[in-house]
Amino acid sequence: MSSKILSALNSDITELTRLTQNALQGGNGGELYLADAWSFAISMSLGIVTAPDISFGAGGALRRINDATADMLTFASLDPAYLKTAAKNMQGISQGTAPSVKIATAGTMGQGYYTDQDILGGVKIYEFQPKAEALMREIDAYARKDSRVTNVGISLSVSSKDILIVRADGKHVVDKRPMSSLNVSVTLEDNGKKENGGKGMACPVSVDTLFNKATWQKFVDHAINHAHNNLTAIDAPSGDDFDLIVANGWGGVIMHEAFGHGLEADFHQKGIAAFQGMLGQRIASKGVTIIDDGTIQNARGSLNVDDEGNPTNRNILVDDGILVGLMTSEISAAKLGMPVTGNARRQGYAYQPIPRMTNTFIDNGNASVEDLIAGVKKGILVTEFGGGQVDITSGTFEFNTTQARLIQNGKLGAYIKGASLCGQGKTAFQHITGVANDLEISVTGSCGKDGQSLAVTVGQPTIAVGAGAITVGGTA
Amino acid sequence: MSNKLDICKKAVALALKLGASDASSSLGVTNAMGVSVFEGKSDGVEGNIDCGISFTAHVGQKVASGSTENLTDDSVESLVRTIVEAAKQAPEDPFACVADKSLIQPVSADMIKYLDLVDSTEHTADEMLQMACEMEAAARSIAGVASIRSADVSSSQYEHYLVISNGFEGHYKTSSRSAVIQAMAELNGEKVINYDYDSARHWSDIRPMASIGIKSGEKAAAMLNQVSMGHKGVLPVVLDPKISVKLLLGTLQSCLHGGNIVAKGSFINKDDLGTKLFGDNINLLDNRTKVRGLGSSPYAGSGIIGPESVNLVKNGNVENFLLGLRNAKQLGLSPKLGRPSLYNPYFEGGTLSPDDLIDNIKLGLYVTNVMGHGFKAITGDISYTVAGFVIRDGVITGEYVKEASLAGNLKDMLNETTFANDLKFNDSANAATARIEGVSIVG
Repeated sequence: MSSKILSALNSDITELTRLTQNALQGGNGGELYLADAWSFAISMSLGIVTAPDISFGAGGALRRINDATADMLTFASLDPAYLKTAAKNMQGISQGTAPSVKIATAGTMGQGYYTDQDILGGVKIYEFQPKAEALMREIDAYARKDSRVTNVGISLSVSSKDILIVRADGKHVVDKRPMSSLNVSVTLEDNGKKENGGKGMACPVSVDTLFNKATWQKFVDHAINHAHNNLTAIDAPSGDDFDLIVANGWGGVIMHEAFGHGLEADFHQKGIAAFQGMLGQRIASKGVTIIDDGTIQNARGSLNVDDEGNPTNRNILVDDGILVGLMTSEISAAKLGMPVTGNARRQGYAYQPIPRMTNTFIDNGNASVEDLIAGVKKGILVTEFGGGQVDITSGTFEFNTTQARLIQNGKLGAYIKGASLCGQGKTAFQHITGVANDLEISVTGSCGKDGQSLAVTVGQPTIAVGAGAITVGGTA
Repeated sequence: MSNKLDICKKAVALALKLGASDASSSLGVTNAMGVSVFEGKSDGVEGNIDCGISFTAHVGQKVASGSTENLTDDSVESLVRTIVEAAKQAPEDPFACVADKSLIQPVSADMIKYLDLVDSTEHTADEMLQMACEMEAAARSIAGVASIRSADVSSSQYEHYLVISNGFEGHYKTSSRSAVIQAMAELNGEKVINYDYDSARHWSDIRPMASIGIKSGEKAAAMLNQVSMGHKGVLPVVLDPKISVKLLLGTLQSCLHGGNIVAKGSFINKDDLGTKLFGDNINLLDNRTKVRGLGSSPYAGSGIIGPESVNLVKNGNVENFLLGLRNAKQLGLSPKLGRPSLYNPYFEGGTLSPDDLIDNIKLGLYVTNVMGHGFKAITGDISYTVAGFVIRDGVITGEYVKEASLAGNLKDMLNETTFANDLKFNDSANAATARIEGVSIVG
């Protein structure tokens, strides 16, 4: 797996280990991180297939941990000269104080949370290209059976990244990270009104999965249905006196924003997190258990090994409403005296690894969805979301609905236009009044932090949040 | 490594030899350095060497593109062969094209000199650490500031090369310098964070470190006096200039994008060209050649140089879309403006001072922060979570509303917007303080 990286650098593990250890002398940890990636992307809009894109990215980074801070030198291209220059320059960066904390690691890496086979099944990109084109034409034709469809946008991409991490402590790990993505969006026009809808997947699976007819037909049907429903939408109401029922799957984005980021340990390391010092305290209603699990088979956020070379884990963050864990990197773990959880991730070799989520979800409860809806007098059922955001320090979070409908006296009513929903992480989840048993984990999702975008998933069963916790911002 | 312009020329020549009818090659190299400090000490020094070549091959109406980060002869040759082969296998795209020869012209050396995008002053990592420490200390000197999230100073140099088979050749260099700090203030367990920054092409245009630090601390401390308006309904809102950019300029820009117009994904349609959609006072302009401008460039990626300044919206009329070559051909319009995206866009300022703009507002909200992704280009609907200060009897009070919902429609809002006379060109995109009459606010 790492043979291509080693041959590009005209080196071997022994030599790279020696170089890394020499370059990182004086620090108390760190690594040489090397990556070699390729990607293929093709898309279709207005019935025309647009230029395929084939890209190659390779490079590396030397990172020296100096007592809970890190110096890093990165270089594009797996060029032995660049690596040698970085190693030399690292010694020229003056260090502050001598190391006082001990950097811990977390044992051996897990294996096999996704395929280690060639993502195209051994087929060359040239040979795959016409197959991808044929698939997109089939999807386009299927979507256009609905006469209201004025545009179909389809994008398909596959990528694969080999990484080799040579650590200052002498260990090394390799990983091969695949990703197959298909997204369908439609624009509907009816009675002079326009709406769009979309659905897709991006998972570390063989590209064959994208060709499953039942799968892509479901994406198209879902996208059309989404746009159709929004064509009927009335102005969203506003106020903080609505009970909310948040549907399973993508609904987990609320938890991701309200809690997830607040439980990333780097914020705690600097004393700026809303949940600072709250370990062991109740931060959510009884019955709410939140888990970050980087080991789910074929899930988009899963990793065999994190970007510091530590194994990923199933980490319980909130247990029956009580905050019990944080997501750490080696630096934040050392600084806080907590275990290394395998959550250090980087967008690419040119970025610092920092604590990040993987697949984060609320675990199943035992209520039924029907009962949760039936229990609402005045409320809103939110089934789909756009992006979300959180102010990590104040705990204010917000996200936008892209599909939602009114609930009155336990009955579902009209669809409403997109509304922003906002609340406070510290209090909102103490208003959870019911957790259903229909846990679903998303098959798409990207999360941004400090300018780094990563593949993650969110998940939850359907949940009920009592009035007063979340403000609905509509125009009506 | 060969001369970088030669790498591009060789790549284009090889593609033509392999059967491409057209080709274009774009190469970029960035050398960057950044430092962070925390509690007066280094929180990390970072150096990045980033490079890459993007390549597009046309075989008649068939096109493929790709890129590699490895600029060795072997790697670039292998990329060119792969992309030409992929183009031959690609389906025909009736809208594929390179810029017509009549639209391109040589890049003027005088223009590059005039733009003044390269700073010859360099600072070492140690000097930058010292600057960041000064910024941090200033932030921490403000009453109420308890900690900082980050204090970063960074600098980079960038070189760009572009060669197209239609005869275009261009290259230029830029430098970027920036300082940014996030200060945290705390009162009775309530924590708030705010930031200040400056970025420029030249170190000499960056504000003093202490001033950036102080501003971040003051902004954070001002958020400690929190109130709830308990309001639900329509209110006049006044947008801080940075918020004007995000809420009005950023959103409008995406609706004028050719790709969105073609795909019918914007509330603005092709037929709206030349139509008055917004208030008389709405003028959206774009200046490609602002001296030392963060968004300035001597040419567009298509090789088209285009006019220095363009009106996208004039007196409320939609005058131009943002068009790359392909979108222009799809819409039957000319790509001659050379603006697939904007360089240094701005809304023209108004005549009233910000104080006069606010003067007759009995109750309103002065918005200083916007969260979220609540804009839908296809309908123009806006729904964001915002924060800011209560305006009462014509004065911005110190009462901070940390969470309110703002909802409306961009088209309606741009018919009820008045800009003040405080337009400054600090960033690549700029706007003045703006007042919008009727916006739905809960908070």
